[in-house]
Amino acid sequence: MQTAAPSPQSRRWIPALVAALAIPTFIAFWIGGNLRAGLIWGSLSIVFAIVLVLGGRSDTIRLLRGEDDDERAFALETQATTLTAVVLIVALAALFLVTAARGENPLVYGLLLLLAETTHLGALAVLNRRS
Amino acid sequence: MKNDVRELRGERGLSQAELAGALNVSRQTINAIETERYTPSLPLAFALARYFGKSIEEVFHADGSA
Repeated sequence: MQTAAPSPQSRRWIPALVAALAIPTFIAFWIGGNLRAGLIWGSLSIVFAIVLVLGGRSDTIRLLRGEDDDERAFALETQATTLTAVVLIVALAALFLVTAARGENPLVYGLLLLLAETTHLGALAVLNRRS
Repeated sequence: MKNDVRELRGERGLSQAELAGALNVSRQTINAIETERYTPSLPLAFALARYFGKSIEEVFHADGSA
């Protein structure tokens, strides 16, 4: 019987990953011919990475960085991820409906909703078998 | 869930950080348990009870009784 041990080093890579996302973001916008938008969106990634690094004593930032990585942190992370997924799915559904009502093609939003639903069903099936 | 963790820790003169270190959890988790904002998993509840040399029922009170 074990309780989850804190692992201060566990997610130190997260700020670096967030900052690194600026590079493909910038390249994608550059290829698309919109250098200025690429710089803005890329900068957002870097600002978020800096907040993660300099977040210091904030418990929330520590949770994001995985410094208090125990069972409560895992439970909070799971709940936060669930809430994030619900917000994203509601937003996608709203965009799907608004796009369709405007007479435009809502295919991208529809496919993303389909992906979300099939992922949810698949995850439930696998988790149900494992538990 | 109501519990006696704060009282038991106080009797032993332990800080939240010391108890957290002994149980391999964060200080925030001990604080959340003591203030009843977090109900620990069964393994952690067992670990807490064993640490204090008591049964789970003596440390945690599911029916709300002290």
